[in-house]
Amino acid sequence: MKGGLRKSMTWLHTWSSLIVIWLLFAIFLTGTTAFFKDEITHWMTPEQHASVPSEHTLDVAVERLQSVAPFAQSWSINLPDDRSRTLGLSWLGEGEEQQRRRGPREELDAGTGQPIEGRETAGGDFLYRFHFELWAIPRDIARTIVGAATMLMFIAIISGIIMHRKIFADFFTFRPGKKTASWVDAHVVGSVLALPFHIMITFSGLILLAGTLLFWQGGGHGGGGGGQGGQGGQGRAPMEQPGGPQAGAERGGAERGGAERGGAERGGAERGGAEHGGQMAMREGAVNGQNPEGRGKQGGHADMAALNEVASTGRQGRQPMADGAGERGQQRVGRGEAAGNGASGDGIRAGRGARAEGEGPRGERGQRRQAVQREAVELDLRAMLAVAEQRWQQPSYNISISKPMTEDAQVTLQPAHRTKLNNGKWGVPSMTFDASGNVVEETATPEADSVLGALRGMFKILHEAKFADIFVRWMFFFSGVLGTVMVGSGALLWSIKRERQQAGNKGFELVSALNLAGVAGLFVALATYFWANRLLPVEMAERRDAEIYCFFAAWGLCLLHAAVLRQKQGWLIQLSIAAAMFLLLPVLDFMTSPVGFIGAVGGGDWMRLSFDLVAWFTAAGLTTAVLHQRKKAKQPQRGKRKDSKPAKPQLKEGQA
Amino acid sequence: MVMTLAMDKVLLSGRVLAAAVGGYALSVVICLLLGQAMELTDREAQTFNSMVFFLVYLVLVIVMFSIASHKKAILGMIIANGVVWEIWYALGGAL
Repeated sequence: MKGGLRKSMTWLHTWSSLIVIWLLFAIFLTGTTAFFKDEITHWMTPEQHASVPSEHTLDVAVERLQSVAPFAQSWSINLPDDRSRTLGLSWLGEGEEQQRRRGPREELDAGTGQPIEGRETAGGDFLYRFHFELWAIPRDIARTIVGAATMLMFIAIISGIIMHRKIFADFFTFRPGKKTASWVDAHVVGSVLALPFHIMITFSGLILLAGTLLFWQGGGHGGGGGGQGGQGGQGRAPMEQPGGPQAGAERGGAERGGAERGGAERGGAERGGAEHGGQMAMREGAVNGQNPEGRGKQGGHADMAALNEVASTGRQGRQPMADGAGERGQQRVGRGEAAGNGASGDGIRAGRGARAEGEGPRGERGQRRQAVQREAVELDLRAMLAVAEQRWQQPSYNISISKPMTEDAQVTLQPAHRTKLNNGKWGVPSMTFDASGNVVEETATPEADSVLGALRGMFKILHEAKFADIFVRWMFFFSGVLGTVMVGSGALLWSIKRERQQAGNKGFELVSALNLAGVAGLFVALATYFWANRLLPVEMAERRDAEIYCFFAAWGLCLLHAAVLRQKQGWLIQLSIAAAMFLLLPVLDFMTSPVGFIGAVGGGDWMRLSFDLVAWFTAAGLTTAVLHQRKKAKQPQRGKRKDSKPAKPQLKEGQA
Repeated sequence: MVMTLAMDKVLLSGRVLAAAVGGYALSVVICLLLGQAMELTDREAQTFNSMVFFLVYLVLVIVMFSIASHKKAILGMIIANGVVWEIWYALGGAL
């Protein structure tokens, strides 16, 4: 047995990863981009670039809703946050039944309130969905394929750890210019530096796909699938999702198709996805007396009186914020203060200016009567936001108002982020205010109903980085990049190790071609996808699909090219094309967006600028690879040794 | 020599198959037994399985490939499946 285990683990590590390594590379690369899918979608919708959030955005939202839906049953406002720069509005018209489909919705310029007619784009959602559902393959089959590949990845990671004699020492070893040894070192560094992340992301990925992999449990993938489906919609979801949380979760899946096909779902946004919305619907149901479950409800919350005191203090103009509650909150309170003191221009008055021309089936007389009634009701949303922010120690961007512009209006707020990893499925608390600004209901962060549920939820939230602030999100992104390096270097390592002995063998040539198309070709395809977004005509029919076709067409061409010219020139050509495309991507951005570089910097559009910077970093990495390939191309070609034997790791009887 | 190599490939394929399919089947029944031993409800068992199954499967695959002989590994997997499934059914379990 001496040395046997290590040898057999080397065999297992090599072959368990090699058979799906190109798929794993694509999953890792697209999955890594998915951490910033909202930002990618923002970049791919240049019509949004002119939107600059300001302190008046809330006024803009309320004025717009008063104008287009004064008699709506409910309003929903998604304010811009650190991952979106537009204003999302939706409402449920008077007398409309709560249905599975959302009511009317709009995406507005957060500064001017002008509706944004964004182009039809697959955005970051395509990349996100591709990493676990691939494309044009039935959903369950695709998930099973991805799940099997993930299991093989899990085996490869663990066997890779076991096979290392001195993994810690290897981590600090780098031997540049040593060909195979250099690739081994790059592979080890990429693997070990983010090893906990790799294990976490692989294991949690398996948990998310358990529904399809553990088919003997029967119908089990509602949990993970529903949650994931919930993220499918582009943009942001309105807070109310008729039908309650179940419908919300179901819709997460059901609307996936719509989101994939694009068009109509575009404005909709989705921070938190359907489950967020579903939870909101539950809260609204509670407000409207329709909630049959009342899950997580804390109507008689012990702190309610204290909160109301804070709320009333805010309205009376005293400073209710705790020390360190944040500048933003203080600004809001300040404005609430002004409103409370009668400075009519500053307060947000959801009852102000009800317009007789509003929609609704009522006659003119009825409308006028209702308008008069609604004019009297004011909602001091800023004071409510300040109270909620003080409570949760983070801002709230999701506002839902039931029976707006009436005395029975109720405002429900939710915090921007999850703060706990062990939250249950509907893991965000909420706070409901009456029209006077008193807290009438507060729901605590729903906890998981069991330790197992909490554990599973924790892995799910970790995988999707739903809890992550911008710093942690970037850390996840860089760990994902290291994972991509790990998989890519592993693929190349297999070829490089066997180049001298096996060049010319069918199997080796197949792997070489797939390596080229799977690694360099994928970068070309990704760059093509972003270029297509800007170069395809905006009015083009089925534009969203066209972007995706461009992605696969470029990838297919790279595969054909690799089949013909898969040696060093092939790498040089494909890497050069990808490097040039990524290098010029920011130039294309500033040429085809209505807002130029200076405007983007001035407007603080870091979502877009970060994308351009990452494009440049990618170009820099690819250029380094090009230079490396050029250096290699100048070296004399080594011929195949005829007397050589295959160097693949052998697992023979009695060897392990 | 040729026969030995061919036999070796067949046995290696058998080990891979035993690890993949036999490992899956054995993981299933181990999860079922654990769920029963812990007296989990159906819902809890689903959650439990969605996490533990992959760990059990991983361990079984690694064990399968750490055994020196192909034949022993394959036979071991078949016997383990037979015994553990028998125990499961003897305890009145069903899929």
